[in-house]
Amino acid sequence: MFINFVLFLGTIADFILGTFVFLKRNKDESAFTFSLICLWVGLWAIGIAIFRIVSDIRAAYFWNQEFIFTAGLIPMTFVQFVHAFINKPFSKQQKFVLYIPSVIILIGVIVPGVMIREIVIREWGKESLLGYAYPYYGLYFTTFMSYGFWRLIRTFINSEGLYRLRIKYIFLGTFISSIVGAYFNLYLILLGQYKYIWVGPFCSFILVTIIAYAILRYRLMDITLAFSRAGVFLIVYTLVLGIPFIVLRRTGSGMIATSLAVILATLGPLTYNYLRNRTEKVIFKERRRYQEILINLSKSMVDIRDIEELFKTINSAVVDAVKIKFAVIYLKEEGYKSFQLKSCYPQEAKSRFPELITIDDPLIGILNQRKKPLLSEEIVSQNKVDPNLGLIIPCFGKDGFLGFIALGAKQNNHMYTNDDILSFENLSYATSLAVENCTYWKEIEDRQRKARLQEMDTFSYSLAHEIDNPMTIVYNLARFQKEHFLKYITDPQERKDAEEACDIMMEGSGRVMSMVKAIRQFGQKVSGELEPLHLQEIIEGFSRLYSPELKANCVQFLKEMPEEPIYVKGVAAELQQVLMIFAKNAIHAMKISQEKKLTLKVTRVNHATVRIALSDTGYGVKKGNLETIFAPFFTSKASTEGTGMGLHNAKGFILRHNGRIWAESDGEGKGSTFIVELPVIESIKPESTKKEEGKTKWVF
Amino acid sequence: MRQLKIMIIDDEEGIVFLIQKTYQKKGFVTCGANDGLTAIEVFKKERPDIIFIDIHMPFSAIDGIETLKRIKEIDKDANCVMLTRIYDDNSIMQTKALGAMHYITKPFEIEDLDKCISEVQDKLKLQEG
Repeated sequence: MFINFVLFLGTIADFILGTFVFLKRNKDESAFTFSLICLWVGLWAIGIAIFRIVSDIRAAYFWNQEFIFTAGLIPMTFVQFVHAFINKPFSKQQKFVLYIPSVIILIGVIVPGVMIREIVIREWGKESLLGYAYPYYGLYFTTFMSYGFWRLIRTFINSEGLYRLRIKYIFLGTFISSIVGAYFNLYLILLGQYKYIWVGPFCSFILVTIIAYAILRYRLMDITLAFSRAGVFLIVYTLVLGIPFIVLRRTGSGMIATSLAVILATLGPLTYNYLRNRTEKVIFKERRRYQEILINLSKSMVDIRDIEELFKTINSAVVDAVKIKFAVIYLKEEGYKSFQLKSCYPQEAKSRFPELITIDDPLIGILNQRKKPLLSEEIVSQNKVDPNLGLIIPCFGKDGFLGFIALGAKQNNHMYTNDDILSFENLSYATSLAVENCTYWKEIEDRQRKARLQEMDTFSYSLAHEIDNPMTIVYNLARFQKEHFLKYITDPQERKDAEEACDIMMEGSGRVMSMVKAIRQFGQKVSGELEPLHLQEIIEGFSRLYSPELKANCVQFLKEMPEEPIYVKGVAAELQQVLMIFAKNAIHAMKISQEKKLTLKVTRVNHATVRIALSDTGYGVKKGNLETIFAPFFTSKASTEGTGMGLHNAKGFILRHNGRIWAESDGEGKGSTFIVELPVIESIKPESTKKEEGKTKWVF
Repeated sequence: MRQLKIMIIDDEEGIVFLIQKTYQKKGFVTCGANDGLTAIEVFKKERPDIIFIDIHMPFSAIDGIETLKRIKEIDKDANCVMLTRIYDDNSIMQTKALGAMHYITKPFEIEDLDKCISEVQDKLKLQEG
């Protein structure tokens, strides 16, 4: 009696496990087939139980057929499950072939004498006498199961991380239970011992227990919450139904049992709710704590205006609160087809990740398609993923895919639960909003800065204009004094000093005047039309304009230009701006260099082309970046120092001049050379290079 | 009372000329240098009472701050006045820590320098008195 009761209980446990797995991941073939196995095992166990209970021989015969058939289905489904689990699912045709034995077994159990000869009653219960095909049935069972285990072991050896742990538990659960099952219900029967067939179904308990453990511990089928509830449910209702049943058996009084059942049934839901809350509190205590932190983080994120600070806050908060190994954030680069690593916490983990992930990477495709947090093992088949990686959370904004946060595994190697994933999904919404918020603020700040710069521009040009007049006066009066008054000084030493003073005044004011001239040339209105230009003059203008900046940064500036004049067609201000962009980058690159030298070399490549090369002794350019530095928003500087648009603009200018622009570098730490090639025009009317200053060509 | 000896260190020759000639006319003894290393040698030889040092000397082997440091190593009581650009808070703090007595931002007027010189004069008078 007790044995039968336990068999029923085992069946129910099997069915519940199967149902949960099925409901939770019905699209996943491995989960689906696993729930099928649970169903077969449950049907098999219940068949054996009923076979033992019924007194009618014909009914017993039917249940005997049933449990042989359902047990026969287990190996096929198991093989299908293993293949799905190791990511080598069968095609439709293969599945068709795989399930052929089921038809043979069905025929075997229906046709009398093939599998079952007859049922006889012994003093210990019913015995089914085996048909002649039963040994083949045993052989089939053993072969299929062995094949499944062999595949599992092979995959186990080659796997790592979480996946490996899961295979371990799947293997343990199925292997132990099938060994026990096969021993008592196949091999002992074949040896003539029928008495112990009830032991086999107990193996389903082993299966359920081990798999359940793996579910709780390693999120095997991702149903922790549902599973803990189901456990409580099962315990409560076993008591609710079991106690009256036992009372009925013991006392024989229907009255007591019924009233007990009524009372327990009333208390049942209350007890269930209470116990459920208690268990959840115990199981999820830690999780509730950090979920609260994540919610607070989401709230505080809107106040952050700087994107770097935002990322730093998210990463450190997540790493410290959830106690994970690391967190990184990738952000989509505008107008550039890749995702760039923006922030990593802790810093040491940075070496694990590539700087750029291109947009056609399969990972990006999956994230874009699924649009929700993905566990590393969900992408493991498509991509070689770091075993320490836990969860990848994509963020979507109004312009689509913004970027993603990749989280490492938890420090205690616990799994991310479904609940976690939900919390992180909320975090991803908050992050998207906060990123857009930061971008918005940055745009406003940029606009303000631009407006300020424009004002400064106008201001500096008018300043240059204002300086021009007094300087002309100083220069010319010094000259006047030198030429006309010095002769009245009689003391030769005094006269020499006075003469030197005049020279210094003329030299100083002359320097200021040539600088002002260069500023005015640079501020010239850009008509957009290319005009013939004297290249050396353009370069002289640049060096006049920029040498104070170079000097201020202790940069030595060398020029090498051919003597004979070279003419190009272009816009003076734009060409000077390109050189300034190069020079500005060079100054930045040489900040920590021992030797700070900037060399400008002009050479004729051939009769039609001139090359301007600006070499620095700075930290150089990575081989892989020689092309990308010309992309918009690419910068090696801190966000406050540059917009990342300089070289991109320079490229635009040079392309407009029908020229070529590129960078060369021997690698990091070895300096870099930025090169421009422009078409040369051979002849030029002298008057066309001279610009009259009064022709409203100036901004001011 | 003896006349002070004034020294000017600046990589801009015009400035050195200007200050030297101005104070020579006022009856002071002057000396000058165009870069830090020469300045140290001149300082050792001449031992001026007040030294004006330009902080920013890009092409000198040692800049104004380093020059100040070395002068203070030779004579920790040397009266040093720094000449600097506007908005150079960092350097100003640094030179203060090294014991510079004042700083004067460029562009300056001779009166600014006069103030420092008379302060040094008062200081020396006190010591002698």
